[in-house]
Amino acid sequence: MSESVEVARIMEEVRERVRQKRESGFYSEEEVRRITQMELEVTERAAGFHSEIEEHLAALNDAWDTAAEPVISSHRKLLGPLLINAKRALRRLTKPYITLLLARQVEFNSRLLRLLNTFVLPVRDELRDGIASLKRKTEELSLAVHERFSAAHADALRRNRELSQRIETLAGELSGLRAAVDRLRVAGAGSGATALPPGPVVSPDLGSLPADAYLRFEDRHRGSREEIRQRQRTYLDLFPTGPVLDVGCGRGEFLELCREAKIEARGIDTDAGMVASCRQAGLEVERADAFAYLMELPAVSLGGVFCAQVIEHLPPEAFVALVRLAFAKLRPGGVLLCETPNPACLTVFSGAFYVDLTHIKPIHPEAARFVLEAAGFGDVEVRYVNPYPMEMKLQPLEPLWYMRRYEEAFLTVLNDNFARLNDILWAAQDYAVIGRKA
Amino acid sequence: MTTRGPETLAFVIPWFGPRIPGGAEADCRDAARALAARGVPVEILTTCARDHASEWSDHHPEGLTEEIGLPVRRFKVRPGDRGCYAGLNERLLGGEQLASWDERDFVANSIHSDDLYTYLAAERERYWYAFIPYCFGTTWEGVLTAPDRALLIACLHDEPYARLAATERILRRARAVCFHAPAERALSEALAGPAPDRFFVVGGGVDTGIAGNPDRFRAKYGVHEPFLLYAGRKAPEKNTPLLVEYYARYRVTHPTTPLKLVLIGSESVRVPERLGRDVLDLGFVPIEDKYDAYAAAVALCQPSLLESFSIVMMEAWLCGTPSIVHAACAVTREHCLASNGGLFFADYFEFVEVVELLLADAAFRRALAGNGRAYVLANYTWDRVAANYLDVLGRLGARLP
Repeated sequence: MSESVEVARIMEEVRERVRQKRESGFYSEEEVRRITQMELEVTERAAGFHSEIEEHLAALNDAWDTAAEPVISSHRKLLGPLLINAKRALRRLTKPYITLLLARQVEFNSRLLRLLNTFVLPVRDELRDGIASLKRKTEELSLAVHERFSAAHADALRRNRELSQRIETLAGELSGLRAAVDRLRVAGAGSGATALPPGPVVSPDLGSLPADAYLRFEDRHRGSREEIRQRQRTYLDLFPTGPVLDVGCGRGEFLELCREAKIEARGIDTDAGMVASCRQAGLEVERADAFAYLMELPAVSLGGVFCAQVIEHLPPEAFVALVRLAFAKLRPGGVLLCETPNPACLTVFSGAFYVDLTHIKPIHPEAARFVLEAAGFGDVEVRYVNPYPMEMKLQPLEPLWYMRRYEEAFLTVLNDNFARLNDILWAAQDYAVIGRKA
Repeated sequence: MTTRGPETLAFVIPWFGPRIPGGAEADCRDAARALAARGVPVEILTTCARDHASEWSDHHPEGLTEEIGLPVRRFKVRPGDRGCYAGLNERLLGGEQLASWDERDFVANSIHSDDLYTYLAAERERYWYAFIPYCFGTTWEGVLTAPDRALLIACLHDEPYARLAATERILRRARAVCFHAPAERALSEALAGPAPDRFFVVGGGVDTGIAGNPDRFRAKYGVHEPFLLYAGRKAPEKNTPLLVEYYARYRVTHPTTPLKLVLIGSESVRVPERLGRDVLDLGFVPIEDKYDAYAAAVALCQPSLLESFSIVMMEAWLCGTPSIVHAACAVTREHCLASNGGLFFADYFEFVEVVELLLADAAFRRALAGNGRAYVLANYTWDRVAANYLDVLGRLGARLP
């Protein structure tokens, strides 16, 4: 680095020189003003127009009187006073003529200037006021928009609170229902109707209703045969070899599927109407109690046990017994599948589950898994089926372009809550627990 | 545990091309090439857009190509409301503080590529991403896509974009932020708080092999009088109009001066008619002519307040010419003081003094330029800057060969 050059010091000197020049009047006040104003014009681009108008107008106001007495001076030291006197004499001589000539010009200048003075600045000020008023209106508008959104926000909050309250009420009712079911179950157990196997004979009890009542009930509430076939078709692959026993075969949809897939299968059901209907369709079905039937079968004789929408008709102990019996009668590699309403979906309790008088107890998927595992099944899988259609669920709200960040955050929370409610209220309607005998 | 292969350093930039003007664009090209030349696996990840000035749409085909010796991957541009962006940009540059929802629209309608973000997220294990510069969608959103793998080469200036919440967010979230100068780091600390373990001054690299021929410039462009040179984009945000105004004023207060003003670079600036013969706007000139212009000038004048590095100062010094900068720009002023290679002005009166000083004394000009040159060679060679980048990557635990 060159020793002689030190920028910090040089800049100090530069600043000092500028200060001295300004103090000594090297730059006139007018010059400083114009230079300072020029910088403003560059930095504040919009202001340039207005200050330029003022500047021109000020200059015109200074110079309009072209007949004004000029300042006579000279910069020469010795000849100066002489020259000034001469100039003054000349001025006195020519003044009347020049004044005559200039009078009309001065008149014109003054009139023009008066016009400009009365017109330019007020128009400029009006423009400025107009802009300011526009700005104010914009602000007011933005405030109004803000208020409207705040109101919408409050409304949404209120609706959210109402929804939460309704859910709480629902949850309260649900636990009441659960307690009632438990009480009924205890009462039932006390009467001895559900003693442990091998004794129990459990059947849907419809009292004095006609024999085909449950068939008609199923036709109305279970879903059409074709729907059930569609749903159960997905289970076919789990049963590659027969014989398959369909416990509680109902209208025989799964048996039909097995027949079409050339899998040996037969069914049992306690309902006479169902059995008659199946037989008419040429299916091999017997009216029998599942426990009695299974106990009669030779051990290790079945390729599969299929049991859809049955176990919820059983008291818990009967379910355990059914699983243990099935395990005993299945060949190694054989599969037990139990499909039942999914109690992890709360809507099931306002519809599918309690619509059927013969349902006794919902079975939680993890309880079902536990029962199968305890009975000796391996690879126990829980498969959730029959989801509710999206349009039945709470729909997420879309953010709108004009929302503010906190409103969007609020929306995210609301949608999150919807998603959680959807998970609880409209989870899959049913599940199948599937176990394989090793 | 499996041993994984070496990682790649990917520069993520809104647009890429060998001739796109702009400091960040040039810095990206040069840094990528310098690191590749030193054995670092380097890629460019960018959009299909052509450049800042063109419509932000798919100009190039998407996919992998090789350009200037670098693998370049382009991704489709997300359509956006450019009118909305332009309107908000104007308000922002007009000094307005944008409301949060306006800022969100501004950021959302900047340049983006969803395919790029998907790629950044999916491939983060094998890359380190160097986002450059800070003020576009690809950086605002890209950093948040993979913050743990993100180096931000900010190119930060004290300008309205720097004060957006989106900028503060990436300054806070990026794994490391690299700066060209200590003043840029200080600005970043003012905006997002100090972060000594994440903020690194790496400097900017300069091609130190350049030289200019003053006679060739004078002959080719017919400029035989002494002149001040402005090099770069001519725009209000670069403070070019201020330089033109100061020069115009100087012509009035110094009517006999032979001093001219020569402008080179893209875009244009309004020049008063009466200065038609004294201000020469040469537009975009070949790079050799730029170097020749540096060499022929009395001084390079860099009035911009928004510099994160100012490569033109470095180039001018290498070509033997001192710089005049605006005292209010911390970065350029710092360069002048640290190098003893340039002077600065805070107002017109200081501008006049500084110009007069330089005009009067050729030896003084040479001494300043010599100091500047030494400063560049000591701090801003690519060897030095590449080593700084490698040091940052090493601290982050990057597996580079």
